[in-house]
Amino acid sequence: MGKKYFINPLAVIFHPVLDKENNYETIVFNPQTGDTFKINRFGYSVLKTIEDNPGLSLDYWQDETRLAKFVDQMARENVVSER
Amino acid sequence: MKKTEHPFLVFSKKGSKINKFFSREIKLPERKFPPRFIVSTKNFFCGGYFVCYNQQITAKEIAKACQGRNWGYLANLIADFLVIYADYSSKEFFVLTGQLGGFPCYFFKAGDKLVLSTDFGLVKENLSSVTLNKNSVFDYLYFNYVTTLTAETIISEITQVPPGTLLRIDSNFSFSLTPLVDLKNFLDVSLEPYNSVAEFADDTVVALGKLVSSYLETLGQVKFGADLSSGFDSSLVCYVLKKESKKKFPCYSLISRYSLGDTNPEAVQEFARKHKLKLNFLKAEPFYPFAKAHDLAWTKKHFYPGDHGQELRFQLFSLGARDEVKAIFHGYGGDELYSAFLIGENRRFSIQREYFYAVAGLKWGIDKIFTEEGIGVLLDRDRFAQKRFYPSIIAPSAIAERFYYFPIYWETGVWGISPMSDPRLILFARQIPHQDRKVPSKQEIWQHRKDIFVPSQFVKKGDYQKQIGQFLIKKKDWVIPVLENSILAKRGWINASEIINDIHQGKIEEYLKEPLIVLHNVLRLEYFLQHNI
Repeated sequence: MGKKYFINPLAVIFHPVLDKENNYETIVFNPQTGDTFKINRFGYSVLKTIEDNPGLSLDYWQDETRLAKFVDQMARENVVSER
Repeated sequence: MKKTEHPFLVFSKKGSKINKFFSREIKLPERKFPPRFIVSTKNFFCGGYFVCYNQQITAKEIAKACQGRNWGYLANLIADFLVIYADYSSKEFFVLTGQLGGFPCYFFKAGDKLVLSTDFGLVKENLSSVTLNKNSVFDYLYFNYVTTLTAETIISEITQVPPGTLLRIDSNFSFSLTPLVDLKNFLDVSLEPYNSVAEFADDTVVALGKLVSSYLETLGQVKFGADLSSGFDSSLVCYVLKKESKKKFPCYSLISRYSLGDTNPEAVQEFARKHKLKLNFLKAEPFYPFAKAHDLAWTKKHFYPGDHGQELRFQLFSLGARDEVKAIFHGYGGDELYSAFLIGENRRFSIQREYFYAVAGLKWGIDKIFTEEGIGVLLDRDRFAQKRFYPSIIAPSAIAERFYYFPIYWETGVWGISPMSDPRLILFARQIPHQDRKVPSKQEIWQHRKDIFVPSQFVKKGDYQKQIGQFLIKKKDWVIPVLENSILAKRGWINASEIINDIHQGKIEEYLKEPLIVLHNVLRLEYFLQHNI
């Protein structure tokens, strides 16, 4: 069974009005290092989907390669956790 | 602070006073600077306080802009103002604040009653009961109101009109707040960074010179002084002021043997000698937070500024009042100026940055002050997701210095002027050379301008915590009872008992580090709440 992903609540925040104004780009935070990262629409959509569906696995998406790379990076930066 | 009269208005019935008697209802005390203006006709009332630093504008022109509902034009002027406009035919009533944050305006509306003033305490006094605003409490305790601009205050019933915002009260007595600062237009200006740090520094001096010249022209014969520390910002302002005014003016410098902070007395003296400035030192030691009855009395009644430096700032501006100056220039906004190239991104992601700043507190020990429940409220993502904040060109931290220090300017009769927070200079400073998010340090920027700065300014900055932390050492007899009666602890937010135990056992070292300002804020808010809730 594939890994399940969860948003680290300390690393991401969604704001319905602001996110729309920002064309669904955002920034995320690595609470361990204090670094912030800019996230494009694709990444935003992935993170929002995980936020809305905690424990989602990569099978949910079609385009797994691009997605796996992004989620892996987010896991390394403590933005999502994998179980 | 002694109490002087503030602008004040009470409506007791829907729209009943938006008529020719309006001018009798509103109280607008006279003031030398910024001056009061009133234009009253059979159709409208337009009045308030107004000073514009980038163009001449008469009272009639202000009234005309209000008649034409040209609010955006007024709000985006480089001006300090509070404009009150009542239209008798439409029975509408407007309050407009300037983008520089010179004037706060607080109000509440309950049933048929509306009370409005620049004095938070006066508005609060007119409320029969008050409710604590949890959001604003945590914004104050942790963020010190320096991260985003909101309309909320620590009391749920009282709203504030943020800088560059229009308050409209219609004939049905309902109100709306409209932000008017044209941040988009400001950010749309495309600018390339300088290649050379030295060239950028030289042109900053020229740009600041032009600005200061426009401020001096606006001041005319109004007597002014300047805040002077050994840091680069206020000293640069003083240098430019001297150059542009060719006048002698008093400079005021805060010094404390507890911590050097920005002010090394030898460096300030050397700087003053170099530029032939008239220097007045104010010994800061006695004015640490909560030391003076006067500081406590103000907090008890009016709360804002609510800042750890409020008594010191009051003492400094009182020196200005003694010298009969009506305006003091300072270097506020200098730190923010050097990161002006990040304005677009910082404003765009302001809520995220604010939230991550709160998360970072977990690393430096906010659990010394907040309980688990308190941290839960602070980091409540729903709370952030519902936040409404107001746009500004000037960094909220630089605006807060003026917005919340207003009571001091008002009470002393000495106005604070911040050329470093001028949107024209901020626009210029967006061209600072940078790599990614990093800019050169101030020492690197100014190293070749030894004609302005003195060698002793090129040293590592001291810390200022020890001056502030004196309340934990010298006012234990006040701190402990305040914590024993903690309203915030009763709500489950503050570790009052643990803090009291630590103080009893002399374990205060940890509190003198990062948590100090949060603890200060807890105590100041507690003192206010214990006398008002």
